[in-house]
Amino acid sequence: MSTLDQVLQLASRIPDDSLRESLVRLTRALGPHLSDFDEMWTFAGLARISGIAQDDPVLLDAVRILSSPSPVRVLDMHFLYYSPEGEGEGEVMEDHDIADAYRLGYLVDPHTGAELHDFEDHLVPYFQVRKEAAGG
Amino acid sequence: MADPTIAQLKERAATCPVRALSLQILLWDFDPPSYDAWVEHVERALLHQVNLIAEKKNYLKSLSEDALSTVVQIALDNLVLDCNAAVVNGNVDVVIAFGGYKWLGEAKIATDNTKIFHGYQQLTTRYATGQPGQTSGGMLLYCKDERADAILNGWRAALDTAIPGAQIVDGPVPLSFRSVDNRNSASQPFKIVHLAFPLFHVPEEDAWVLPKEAAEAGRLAKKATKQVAAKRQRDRDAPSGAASNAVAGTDAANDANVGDS
Repeated sequence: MSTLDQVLQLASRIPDDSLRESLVRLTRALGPHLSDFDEMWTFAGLARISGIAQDDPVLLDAVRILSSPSPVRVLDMHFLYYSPEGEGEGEVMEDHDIADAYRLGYLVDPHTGAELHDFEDHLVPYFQVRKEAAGG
Repeated sequence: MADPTIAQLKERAATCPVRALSLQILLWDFDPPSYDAWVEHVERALLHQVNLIAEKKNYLKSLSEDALSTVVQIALDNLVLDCNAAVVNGNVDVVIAFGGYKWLGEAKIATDNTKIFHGYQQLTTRYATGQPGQTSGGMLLYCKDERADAILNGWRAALDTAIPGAQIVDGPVPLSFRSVDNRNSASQPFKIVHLAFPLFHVPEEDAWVLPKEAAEAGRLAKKATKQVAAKRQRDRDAPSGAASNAVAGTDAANDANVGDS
């Protein structure tokens, strides 16, 4: 069974109509991109390709399901960092730097070395298709 | 930046316990919660479902214990947390699991304390393992036949007597309390939240009409209010000297009681 089929099978068991339909729409929208491992999907990007409004709460739920280990993980979440001093360009962060920030309670700005305690205000999540998902 | 930050996503999710749990799971790889923090989110999500179910009590009160548990499971299934009736040293009614964490729920139609206690014994001595990440659960009490507060208070008193040292304290909402039990195979504290589902539904609008005395009291109060308003109107319309004379020594409420017909 392909990765998409597994997700669609999971979706069929979800009682909530709006969540089920959103998960199906997002999964089908990602279908043609399962080999685009370098593509970075922010919430806005996922909203655009799926047609789900970015501020619709079910988008978060659908993304969370596609990023969960069970039954099959399609997306990995990573982060862009927008420096308070920056010009609006997000910078790709290493996952371990983000995990360290949560563990320590602050993020070290990669350029200034400043300790940012409100780092969640400066982190934008983005998602990439897992290589394992393409092979399913 | 047009895309939401983590802080903004958390702000949006804070309005709904289910969504807050969803975001917490999304962040799991980076900010894994402690078991206690995860249980707190699970309980909030569960309480949210209790509220939703209570709102539909007129449709649900005739359901069986299994059917009611299925309703709870379906509600929690939307979390996609492997929530189901699972086999953990027997058949647990509700299991919520994620990332090695488990929350075990025992559901009972709360007809009498003996039956509830049987379920409690199953939860604490049969299902609870006491293993790390599996040390919390709950009693889901479907209160169909009596008021939920009465059932919960009765059960609380019975448990306090039956299990000395149960460490009973108030719960997160009025229709709940917490206790602890150490009688699992690992002798570890197993924390239990006891949640009452208020499904008792006896509408009385046709069975209990307003008593005659109450109707009369209402009529008198209404009449008095009208008389006061009328007197004020007359005072406003009358010359200033006449107005003060008219008000002095006059009590509209007394008038209403004495001269009522």
